[in-house]
Amino acid sequence: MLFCIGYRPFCMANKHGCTGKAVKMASVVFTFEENKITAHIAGEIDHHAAAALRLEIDERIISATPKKLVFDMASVSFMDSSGVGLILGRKRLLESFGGVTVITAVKSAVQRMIILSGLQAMLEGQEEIKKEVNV
Amino acid sequence: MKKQNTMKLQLDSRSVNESFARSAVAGFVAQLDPTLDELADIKTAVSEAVTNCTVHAYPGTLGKVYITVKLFGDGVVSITVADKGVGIEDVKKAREPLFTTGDKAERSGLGFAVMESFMNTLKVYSAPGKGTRVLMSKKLAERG
Repeated sequence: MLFCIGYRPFCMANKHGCTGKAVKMASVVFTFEENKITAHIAGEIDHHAAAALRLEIDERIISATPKKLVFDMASVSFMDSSGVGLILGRKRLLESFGGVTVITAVKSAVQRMIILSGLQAMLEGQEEIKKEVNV
Repeated sequence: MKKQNTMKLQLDSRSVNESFARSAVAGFVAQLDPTLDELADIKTAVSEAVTNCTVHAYPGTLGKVYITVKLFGDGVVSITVADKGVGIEDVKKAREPLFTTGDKAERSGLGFAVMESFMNTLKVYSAPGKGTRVLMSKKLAERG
């Protein structure tokens, strides 16, 4: 299933409800396993994109109340501190019903933000990043 | 430190302009041949500064964001992000990591900490009602 977030430049008009207004943003696709939702995020996570991503992700979380939420960051090419707020906000939401949130597949573009904000503890795998110290 | 090139940009404080702002600055800085990491640092810092303008400077209304980028011959990039918004009452407090006047559940309060960490210098000039001016610079590593 593909859920389009807002307007994307290369989105066929009316395919995902896009109007074709061209602004590159983030998108998210979900995969569901037993008690686990993985949010595969693609694109750039900033304050503008985070607002739309938050709505999409929360809708899935609230209807499924999974035990685990995975942020798959493999296709995230940029993230500022708004992305940190997005992740921490979802972590709190999951905790409200006893779920856990983890982050996977962080690329170098996102790595410094993860380290600076102390989110390494949420990483699943990528032990080498966890060892890096916040400077 | 001879000035080599200058760029000025004026934008509405719409959140949709955040990605344009950082991309435009990155495109201009590219002529100094920065590394990918340096460019990512600059993009992130600009994104934080412009986000502050869209989130905090003009509550409930739209205003202008003014960006000036100066490139110097010795590889120094100087970036100013300014607004004519409400200003900051306590700049020292605003710069503390995790401090935010925004929605505590969704805002990380890391904006200034990120700018400080990803750039070499950060100065914040502000007063209530007088707008805010963020001046930051980064020295790119010598190449070749």
